[in-house]
Amino acid sequence: MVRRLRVYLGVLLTRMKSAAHFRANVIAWVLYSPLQIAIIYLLWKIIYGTTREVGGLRFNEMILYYLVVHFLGRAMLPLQTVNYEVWSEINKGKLDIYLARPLGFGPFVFFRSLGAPTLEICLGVPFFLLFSVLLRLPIQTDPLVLAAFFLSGLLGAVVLFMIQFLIGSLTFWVEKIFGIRDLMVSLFMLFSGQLIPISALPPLVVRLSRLLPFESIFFVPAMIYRGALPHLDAAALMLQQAIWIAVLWAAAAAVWKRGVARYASQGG
Amino acid sequence: MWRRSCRLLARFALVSFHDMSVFRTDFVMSLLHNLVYQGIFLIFWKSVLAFTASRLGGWTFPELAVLTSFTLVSAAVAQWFVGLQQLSSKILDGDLDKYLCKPVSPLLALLGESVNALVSFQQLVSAGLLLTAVCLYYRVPLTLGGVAAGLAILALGCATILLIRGCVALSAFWLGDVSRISGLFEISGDFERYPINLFPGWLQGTLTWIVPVGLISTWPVLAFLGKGGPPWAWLAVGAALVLFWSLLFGEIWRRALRRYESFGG
Repeated sequence: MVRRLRVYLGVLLTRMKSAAHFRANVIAWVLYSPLQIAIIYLLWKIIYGTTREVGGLRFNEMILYYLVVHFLGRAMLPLQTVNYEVWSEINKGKLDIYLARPLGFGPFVFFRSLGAPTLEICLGVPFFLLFSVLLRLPIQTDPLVLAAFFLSGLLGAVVLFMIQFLIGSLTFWVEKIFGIRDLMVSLFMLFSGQLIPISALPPLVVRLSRLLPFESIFFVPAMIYRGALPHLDAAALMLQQAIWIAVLWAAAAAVWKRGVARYASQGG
Repeated sequence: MWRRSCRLLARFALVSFHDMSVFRTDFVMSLLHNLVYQGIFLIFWKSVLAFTASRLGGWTFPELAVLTSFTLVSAAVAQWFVGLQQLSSKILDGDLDKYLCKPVSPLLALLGESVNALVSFQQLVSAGLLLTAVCLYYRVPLTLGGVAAGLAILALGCATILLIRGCVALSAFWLGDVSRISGLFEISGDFERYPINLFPGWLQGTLTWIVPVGLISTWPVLAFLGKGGPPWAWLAVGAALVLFWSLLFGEIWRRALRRYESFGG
């Protein structure tokens, strides 16, 4: 077990070292992020011109929410391509290479996909703090809340990975998964809280959201970072994230097992 | 020459259509995705308007829904020019030779090869369905003149944006990798979804003259709805921008081809 974990950590480190787009990420933070945050800031400034609260959040809290979601979104962006990587390995018949190795394909892809987000977090934290200062947003200093936020963010990333892996695994049956992927991206935008906080959505959508795993990805960590939740509520939300991971892991394992049984490749 | 080029483009479009419609499930899912994606923005506006007394700076929900469907129309047009996004990488990789030695316009050959006819069709159908549903359900008052003016501004706006993208891609002949600049352009497209006439004047000016996303979203929608004054001003702005960027694009293309060299073969 420990030996296997060392192998997976090696995969993660290799991926981090080979992340040649390090400079590109700095450019993205310097050029793109101010523009995206400016769009959000200006829009919500107009909206808050006629109201004091939206979905239980005041203007500063709303901007903080979007800043946290933006930070998480940038960190988790590389995970969004997991479905394509899995599709590519299966569709091109490269899965043989991994099946012949003494390690699991799922954990291998997971640790491989963590390399870029790890770099993105290291790079994003200073920018996150800078934007917080510039926009005069409160910076969370409670170590317990910060620890809960990072743990919740990590759990959110695992949920996202599981969903992406499941979509990719459908390649065993449907060959082309991009329609399903795009559809999931749309649902993900709404139900993860990326477009607007879940609490600001109509009651029916909020109820529907409770039945789906998406809010674990952005909404839950962002609400935890805000620090307004009682510790017990934050713990309950993280437990909910853990349950979703267990459910998605079981689903992914079942789909993978059936899929591999169907898998056939020529050549070699 | 023109007839031959059009025939070639039509054939590329047909090939792309057949190529993508082979996967039936994917076809249905993509169509569903377009509708769901727009639906999500409608939910966004519905949620926001629930807190702002049903209006956002003069925009009502049906008007914001029209704005949402217009973004899909400009996206559908862009599917015919995906080749522009690949132009810079083809220049850098020295792959432009392939198009230069063909007996048709190299630009047309390059664009034709990457046409996403089916995706464009799906987006147009989705936009049409959404627009019709919104206009009928909310009884949005439309005039023939307003609709024509809106579509004309939209066409000029799409042409301007595509020409700008073309110019950025061609700058790869001098600047090398320009994907970051193109990426920045993609992000500014986020403004498309929001009514830019609500933003400060300097930003409205930037989004009309420099990065003219206003010409594919807010301004054509206002003309379409018969709001925001006479549309002639926006038609004139659109025509002037198309003229300016076409001349610039033509000049850059001429100079770029003289500069181009590649090894191998």
